[in-house]
Amino acid sequence: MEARVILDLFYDIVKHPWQAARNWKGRTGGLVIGWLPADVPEELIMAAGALPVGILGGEGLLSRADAHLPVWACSFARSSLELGLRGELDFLDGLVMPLTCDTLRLLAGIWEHCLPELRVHPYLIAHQVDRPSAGKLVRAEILRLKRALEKLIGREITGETLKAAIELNRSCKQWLKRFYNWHRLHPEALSGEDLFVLLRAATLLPKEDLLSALSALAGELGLEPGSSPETSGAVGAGKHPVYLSGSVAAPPGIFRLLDEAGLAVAGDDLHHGGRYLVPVGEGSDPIEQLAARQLALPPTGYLNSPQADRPGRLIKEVRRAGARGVIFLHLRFCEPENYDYYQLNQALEREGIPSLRVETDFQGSSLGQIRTRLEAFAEMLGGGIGA
Amino acid sequence: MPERPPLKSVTLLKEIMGRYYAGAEEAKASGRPVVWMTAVSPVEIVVAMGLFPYYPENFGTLVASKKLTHEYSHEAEAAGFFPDLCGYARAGLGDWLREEHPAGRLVPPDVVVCCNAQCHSLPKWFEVSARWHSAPYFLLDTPLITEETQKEAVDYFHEQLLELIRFLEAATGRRFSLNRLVETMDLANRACRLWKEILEMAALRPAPFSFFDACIHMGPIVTWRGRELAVEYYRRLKAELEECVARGEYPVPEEKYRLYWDHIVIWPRIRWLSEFFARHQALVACSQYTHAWAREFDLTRPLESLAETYAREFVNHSFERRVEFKLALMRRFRVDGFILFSNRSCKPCSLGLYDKRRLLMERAGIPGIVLETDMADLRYFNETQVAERLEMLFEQLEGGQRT
Ligand code: SF4
Ligand code: SF4
Repeated sequence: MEARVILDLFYDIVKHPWQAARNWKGRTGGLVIGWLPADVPEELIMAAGALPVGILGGEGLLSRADAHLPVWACSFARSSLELGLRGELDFLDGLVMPLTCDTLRLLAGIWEHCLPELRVHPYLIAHQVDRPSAGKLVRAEILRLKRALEKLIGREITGETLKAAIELNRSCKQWLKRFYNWHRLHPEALSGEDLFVLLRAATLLPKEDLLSALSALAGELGLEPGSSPETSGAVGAGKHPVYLSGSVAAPPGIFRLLDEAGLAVAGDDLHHGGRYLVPVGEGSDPIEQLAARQLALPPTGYLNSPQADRPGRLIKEVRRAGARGVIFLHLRFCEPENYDYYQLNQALEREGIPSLRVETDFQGSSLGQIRTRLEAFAEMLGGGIGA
Repeated sequence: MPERPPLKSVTLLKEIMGRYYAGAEEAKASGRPVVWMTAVSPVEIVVAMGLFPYYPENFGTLVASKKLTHEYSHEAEAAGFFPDLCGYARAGLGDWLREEHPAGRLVPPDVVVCCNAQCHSLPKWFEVSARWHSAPYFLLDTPLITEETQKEAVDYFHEQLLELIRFLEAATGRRFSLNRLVETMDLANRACRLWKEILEMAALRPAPFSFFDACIHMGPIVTWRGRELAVEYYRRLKAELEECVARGEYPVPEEKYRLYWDHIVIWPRIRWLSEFFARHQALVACSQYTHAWAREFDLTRPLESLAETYAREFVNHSFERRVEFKLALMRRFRVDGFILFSNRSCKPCSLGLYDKRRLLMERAGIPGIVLETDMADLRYFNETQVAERLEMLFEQLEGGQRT
């Protein structure tokens, strides 16, 4: 199969996001467990023999969510709840909601109330990671999620199955990172939109299927399986490398706009991008490894303090990725990002790194204007102003 | 029955709040560390260590009461913050970014302690401020309490209290003493008990005290908790209210309706609101907000008790528990209707209210409305709309829609 044909399959999966899970469920009779971003350990769900599925908001008009959330709740919360209320998620046997920001903390309860049949598991997140107490909470929460899953499947999750799930997921993430770097080097062969379609599909497909589809695609693209998954090399000629920052980038069409404006994604801190790609490390105690990943995750909107220095990390990452500018993709009314923007922007200004903030929503209400602004930004990067 | 004249305690209130503001400046001048704290956080530890606890949220109420939040926000927005963020945070951030300070000065911190049991806006505001002032920062992280998570959440909080003590000792060079903590908690208990008794006087019919009074008189329970002054203040206030009852003086003499108001008050329009309700002969009898300080510590297990109390702050509970809390207050104060204040500034208090309204109407069998506006920023306050919503409630009450 040609690369384009395989990519089209990935596009299809993302276009009908729940079809793969429904098929899998029909075929195996297994349980499907949804998760909301960020930081839910998919590996535990996999180890339970269940299929983890990322719920990352939805497009289409909001007609039902308005009765439950005010218009000033973030676009992610509103559009995700809408999916549930529309009945689109009725194939889920459970939903893990990480209590990251105030909105998710509240959404968990609203969801439980409106959609009790979807069984929400609120997953506590440590908002500080620099003191020993955080490690204890993180471990306790991983074990509580494990117990909840065990109750659901009626058997124990063994250390061996968990280790195998960690391995499998790590392989998937390594592949995804290779594709990420491939996009940096050859944006004409694998566009930013392609890349984020792969990333989205990764949260929808059974990981075995994902792995084989990714290696087939790699073969077609000429991407070496042994190549390093780390960011390296300069971004392909003719494109301007940018770093993306935000929580969830929406609507998915935004990536095509970036491509069309001549921008390549050199790195990102999105919940379903760079943050998702942080793998679980190797070690003998899988629970310990899951906890270690959680504690080592980079700062983000819900985890930014003088200790977890997000502005400092942003600068480092922008440089490491070889990006010439930063684009903030902010979801409307996303509170943590709206607080952090000031500090991040200040840090970029101090370093002379140009940036652009665009505000989006899942309904794609302002894409026309955004296109113009992205083009202007690309032009400025091309002119070398401020770079 | 005569209308209650303004409470004489207001004079004393002004004096002791003045002492709080002056105290912060004096502490700053004399080198006694000023510790920024959140309103619902274990200040007892900070007081016991002889540090000066300072409450930036209180500054937020000052700016809001002076109807200046949008002006302060202007500087915050120009710098890169956004108008949908909490009005207190925008006032505090704006204060640092602007030249003029008509609401007085937000005293810079030497140490920042932030408890996120209330919300995750405070950590954002406090973090930036800690960076601005190069002040050591401590987050007392408070995960949500649910049936399933309470053990994990309270244990985590307890462990962090030990970390907090070590942090404060290192940051300030002062020693912590458990005996001093117990003394402080005892004083806090005494003030909190009086505060609760005062709030409960609004259950009398007619009542000498309303939610609006509670909003005005809550300053000391936040700022002077753990010290004799708060105990003294509430002792006097309670005595004055007892005199009101003896004389038959009430804020709403011919009470026709009693109402529950969920959450905080609309600071810049508190007067307008209280007059609006008085015109309708309605007493706003209670709110979960003011009851947040009606608590009691177990002095035999000081740290455990601090952890249990503060981690269990009412907004830090699951949807269902919060509905039950509201319902319990509505029943205890025998209200005829309720107002759920959906406050743009405050997501943790506001998201979910549409569903809660339906549940509460069913369970309490009384009418209620959701009021959409903001506690601080007048750009989001539309007097006509607010009045119309409230009139709607009164029409329902009038129509005797008790089921
Ligand atoms: S992080 Fe932002 S986008 Fe995600 S749920 Fe919270 S407010 Fe919404
Ligand atoms: S009003 Fe709400 S969001 Fe603002 S500081 Fe208070 S609890 Fe936090």
